[in-house]
Amino acid sequence: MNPKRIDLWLFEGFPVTAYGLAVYRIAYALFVLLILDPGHSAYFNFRPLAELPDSFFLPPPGPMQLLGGFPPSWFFNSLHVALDLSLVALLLGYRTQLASWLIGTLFLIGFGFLFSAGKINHVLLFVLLPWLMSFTNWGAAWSLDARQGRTRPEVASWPLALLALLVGFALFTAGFTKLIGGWLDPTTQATQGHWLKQYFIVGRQDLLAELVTYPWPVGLWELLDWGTVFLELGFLPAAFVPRAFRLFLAGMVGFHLSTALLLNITFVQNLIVYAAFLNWNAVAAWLKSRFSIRVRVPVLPLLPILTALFYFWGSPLRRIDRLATFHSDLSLLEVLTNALGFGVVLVLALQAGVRRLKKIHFPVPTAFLYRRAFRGLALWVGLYALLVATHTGEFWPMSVFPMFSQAGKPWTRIVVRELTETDSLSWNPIEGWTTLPGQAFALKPTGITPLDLTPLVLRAQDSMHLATLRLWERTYFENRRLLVLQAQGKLSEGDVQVTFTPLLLLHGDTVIWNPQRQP
Amino acid sequence: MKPGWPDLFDFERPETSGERLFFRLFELFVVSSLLWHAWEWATFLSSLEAPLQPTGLGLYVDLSWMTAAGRWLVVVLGGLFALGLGRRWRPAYLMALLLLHLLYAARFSLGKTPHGAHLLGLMLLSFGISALLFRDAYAYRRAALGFAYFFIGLSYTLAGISKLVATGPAWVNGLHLQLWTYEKMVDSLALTGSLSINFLQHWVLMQPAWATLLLGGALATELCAIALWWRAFRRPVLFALFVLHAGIYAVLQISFHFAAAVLLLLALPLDKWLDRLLAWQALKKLLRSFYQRCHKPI
Repeated sequence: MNPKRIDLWLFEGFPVTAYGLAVYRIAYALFVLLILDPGHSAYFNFRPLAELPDSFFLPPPGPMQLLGGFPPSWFFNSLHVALDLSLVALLLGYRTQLASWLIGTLFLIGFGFLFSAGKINHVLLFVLLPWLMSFTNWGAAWSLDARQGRTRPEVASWPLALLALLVGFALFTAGFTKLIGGWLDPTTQATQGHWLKQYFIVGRQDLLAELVTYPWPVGLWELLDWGTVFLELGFLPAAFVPRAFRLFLAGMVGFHLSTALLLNITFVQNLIVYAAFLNWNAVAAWLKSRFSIRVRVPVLPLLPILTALFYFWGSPLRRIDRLATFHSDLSLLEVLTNALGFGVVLVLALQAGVRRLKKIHFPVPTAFLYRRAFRGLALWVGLYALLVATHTGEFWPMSVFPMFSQAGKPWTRIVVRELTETDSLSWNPIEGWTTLPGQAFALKPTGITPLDLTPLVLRAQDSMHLATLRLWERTYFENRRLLVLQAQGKLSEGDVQVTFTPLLLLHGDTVIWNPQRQP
Repeated sequence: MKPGWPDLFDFERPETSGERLFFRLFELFVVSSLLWHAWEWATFLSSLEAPLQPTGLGLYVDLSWMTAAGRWLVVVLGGLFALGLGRRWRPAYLMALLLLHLLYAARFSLGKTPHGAHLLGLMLLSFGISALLFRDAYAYRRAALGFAYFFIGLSYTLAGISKLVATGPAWVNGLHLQLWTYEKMVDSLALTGSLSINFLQHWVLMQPAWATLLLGGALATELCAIALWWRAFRRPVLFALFVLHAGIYAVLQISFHFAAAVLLLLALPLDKWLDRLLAWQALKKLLRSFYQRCHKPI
């Protein structure tokens, strides 16, 4: 890549302003305190680890292996106090750099112990975020640091480019393991398999999870498999194109909502990471134009008060969870947050679409356009005629559309009946519909249509057609006795006459022909 | 100066926001429908050992590799559609059409070539020609719709002429419809294993005179389809063609759903409805600013 381009992407790809970063800093702190609720929600509470015996301490490779077991409860209580204090400090912009680093470090320690108990969740992006954002100087405005002159006014945008790269790489690795794990194999449906496992084995049966039991076409499952792999793989190259990256993020927000609704799995902490790429500068400009933000009361006393409130009582929004009980480990607040995130994406997409549509357009001189269109049309009409004339009237999508043009012509179709061992075989023609031998046999589940089967059977004397026909029969219906009948309709004395003539019997590798039709 | 087809392209009429939005949605519908068809064709192809009697370019090019690679072609097709939709590469739509042609030629190599996706293909051809001819987005949209109207008119009129050439005016004899109705009943029996008959089929089989009337109406509609090249007749003819498809589906159970959807999308004044919707948004904005002005402190 051209070094100039790298510079452009790194330093100007994701432009920031001090006020934009300030809004995002506040949004991040509020999101963690109110939605993730450390110390109180199921996945962000480290206290129960202190109750576990040391035999449960099985750290994955890393610094946790230096320890011999879980620390006592005072350690985790202190960790949560420090975490809440740091988050509130970040919210108020008090010692922002230090608070950012403390949040990242404390989460890393907490999750280090949590993951040593066995299950490893994918929260790393969210944990690294405050570290990275500290380099942007996100405490430069609307903060106690700014008010007390403790920070410089300059901000940096390169950490956002780095964050884009990290998000891209993280999702690329997720996609890559799926790619080499066979998600693109058309003979297996990975999404369906995972969904069925979550539904029947894990018991995640809330919201739209039941849809997995519906008989969806295989193509849809494959579309989900391929769509997931390509969405995740595409993140890494997209990270270098800010506009494309934002589109991928929008897609990912939709993806997370769908996994919450269908698989009952949420990755709610990722939403605030993706939100770093929203246009916070515009939000800040809007806030500044609407509200005169001048805080004259002392803010610092809020630090211990809010810390105590969040430590002892947690997020007030968690009360929402009481409104709905799920069988799975979903919480209503998380589902609503996902839905809200998707709502934001939709509104932004709508806004962008309307803005684009409202662009004023001045048409170019029309005489030139007409001349060009007419010439193009003449050329294609000529090509159409040539191709259709030299290909017996059919060169998709061009055609003379001969369907039903030969009216009154006798027709021939194929009907298949299944004979049991006790059904006798007769080659006599049958008039009427009610006296057909054997049982009804539907072609639909086999995926072959009567339109495909008719020419195949009627040309079955040809060895290649016969081989294909036998392959079809063997693939789908080994050991079944299938009687293939030729149905013929014709006009006779002002009426329609339909006759069914048995043509051949397929049974495993055996083909028995009607003696009068023997090739 | 308007040489040739003044009502097809309408270049001098200013374009509204609703028209732009409608075109985008229509383009998206055509592209996604074709992608779905391509997937279906590729899926079927994977169950064949080799195409038996390919048509079109399949007569000159060996398409046996497509049985294994059909799905990958769909991925390439998706990429080409993305390039076309994003106006990133002008020949993208025509290249996509070529791939679709090969897929079709390989998929329908067992002898019978259905016409369910022809209209969608012609729409893609319209987009492809326009993209190649015009750089300007406005001209592209106008020309694409003009070509689309042209090909719809041409194809249905050709279908009507084919009937007159192959059978003559006696094509409208109701007995013919009865014969086809029985043919479709046999197809239904083969497909589902059971025989069922709806009210309209019953009516056609009982009353040859009504069947004659239906066929007469169908032939007249097809022959008049060329009239949609002129703006004044466009909507009525498109609606008549849509009704023709609804009738075919009701009597013969032949589903041209995608073609019918294309006709309906073009027949309905969706652009005007979208304009109203967008105007309604603007109105809301206006009302909000009016409200804010009224409540401004003096």
